[in-house]
Amino acid sequence: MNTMEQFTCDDISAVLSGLLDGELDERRQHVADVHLAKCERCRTMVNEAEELDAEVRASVSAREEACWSDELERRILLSINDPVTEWRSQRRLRISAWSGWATAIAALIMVAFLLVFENGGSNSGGSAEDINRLASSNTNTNANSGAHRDVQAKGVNEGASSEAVAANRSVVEDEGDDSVVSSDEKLIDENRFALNDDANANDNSEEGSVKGDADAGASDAVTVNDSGFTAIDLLGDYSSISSRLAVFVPDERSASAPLFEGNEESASETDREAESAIDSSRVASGGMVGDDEGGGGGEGVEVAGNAELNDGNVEGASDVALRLASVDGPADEGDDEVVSSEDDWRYGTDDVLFNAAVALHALADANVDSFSDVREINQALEYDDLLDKLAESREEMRSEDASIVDRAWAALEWVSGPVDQAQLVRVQEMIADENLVNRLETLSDEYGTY
Amino acid sequence: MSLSEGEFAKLMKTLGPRLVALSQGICRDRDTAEDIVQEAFVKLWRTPPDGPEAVIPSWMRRVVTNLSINDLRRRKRASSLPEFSTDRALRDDRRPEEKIDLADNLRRVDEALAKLPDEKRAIIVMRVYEQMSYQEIAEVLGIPVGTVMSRLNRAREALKDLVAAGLDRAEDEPMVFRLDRGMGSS
Repeated sequence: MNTMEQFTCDDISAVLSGLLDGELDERRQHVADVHLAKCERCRTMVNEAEELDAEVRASVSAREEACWSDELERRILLSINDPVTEWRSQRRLRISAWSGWATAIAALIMVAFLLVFENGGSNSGGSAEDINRLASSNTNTNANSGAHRDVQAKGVNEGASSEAVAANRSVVEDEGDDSVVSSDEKLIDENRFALNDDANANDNSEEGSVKGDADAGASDAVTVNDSGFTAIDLLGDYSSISSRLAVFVPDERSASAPLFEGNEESASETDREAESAIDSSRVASGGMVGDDEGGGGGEGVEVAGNAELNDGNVEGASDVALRLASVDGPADEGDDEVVSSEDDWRYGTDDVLFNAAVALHALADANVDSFSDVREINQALEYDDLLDKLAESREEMRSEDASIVDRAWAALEWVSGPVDQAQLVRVQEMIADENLVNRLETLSDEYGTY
Repeated sequence: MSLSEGEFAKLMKTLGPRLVALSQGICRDRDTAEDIVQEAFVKLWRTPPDGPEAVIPSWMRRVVTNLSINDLRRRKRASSLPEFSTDRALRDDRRPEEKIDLADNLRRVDEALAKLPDEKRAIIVMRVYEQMSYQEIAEVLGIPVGTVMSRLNRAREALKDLVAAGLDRAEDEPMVFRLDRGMGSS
């Protein structure tokens, strides 16, 4: 691949998807545009790819109308109203909370009845004054009780029924108005009114409380997710991420051997490893971007190669992020059954071979007058652990394929140590003579589970 | 966020068809796609996402994509050829020969999509049909963002080859076949 200032046709092929999808950074987009402006062949290639995309869209869209049916809609509505659902159980919870209060209210009303009748029985010719005194005392008790509950309700839930407050207030006002109370029946009605409103307030507060708890739970979940996305987006706050990892995915640590190699049981060790991995990736991506922006012709690693190498470089940190994502993010989004152990969608042999091809490509075009390109490639190899991964990959290959990997490994390993200009030229000749880049790409396709 | 039944029904009508198409595009199986979309809507009803209602479409898209990918991973089975309808493609004002060309093109692309390995097809549908960002795709597939571009490149390349192979086959077909087909359908 070529330097930042110029793209070849091969470079355009390598970044074709980024071009079509508008996912290239501004600088690479500009360099690609410059090439496309003068290369008809590449313009045709891009146009054809765009047409194919449009046909894919049309092909999938063709199902939209055909796929939706009233029957499906009915099935969905039935399933959300399934009596076994969580929704129903929540509703039951609310009903049972209400019924608890209803029982308490009924008991209080009975007590009030008993008190009234007891008084009436012991003093059948009781004066209106006695009745009023009784009414006053009962009202007082209930009003206080109601007010107390209301305060509790408000303490739990700011949104507790304001009607309850009004009701209690009206009862308290009635308390001072002896002439209003003319009969036991009216008194009892008032008590019932006040208590019912209390019950409403408390019922509301109960709901508020349940809802509040649920909200708290939800915000916890969001916190976890936020951490996951923070890790992906900003590569920040890694200590909390890794401690979450230690809590949520203890088994994953053993699976992520390269990242947590030498890691024992301690979470702090995990923290340090994760920190190191993330720092590495930060250095890798930041360093390369910095070089590119420096604009030194000989300093910058080639654009497309750079991008691909960066892809590999962030693997370590992404490993952390994707483990988080597989535990937190997708689980929140319907991914209840995360299939990961035999997951061949992830970084596999084909990805290793492809990244090795990209590294070789960059090496083949590396500037022999300045070793900055080679240094960048070495950094990428190191961060991506590519040499070890290549060595592991060859174990599962046919012997004739393994020999290609051996040659690629040798070329990359050669420049991983001190290398002089003459050696670098020889490595470049070897890569070209043996057509290693293309052979590795072909192998990548052959071994792709993806 | 809580949804009323009216809001839920409205969302079902507006999002449903596209979600089924998305899922079927990935899974290549209509029954599975319907089950997945049903599951996604039940999830929406029970545990809707936090935030304003505007987040629901992208949330649902991710739920359906995740469920579809998981289904593919579980089944690992050979995809069946699609039940493809050209009705929509033909429902326009193009001239008859253009309609036939268009329908043929779509059929070829659809057949090529069906023959693509699951993972390649999924990533193409996610990007090309659903317009998901590389970041979103990376999160769903659990791969680095940069790898998305190289995988998409390879998937598009493979699709192009399959479509070209289909075209070659079509060109090799004797004309009498086309005539027979035309007469048979009339």
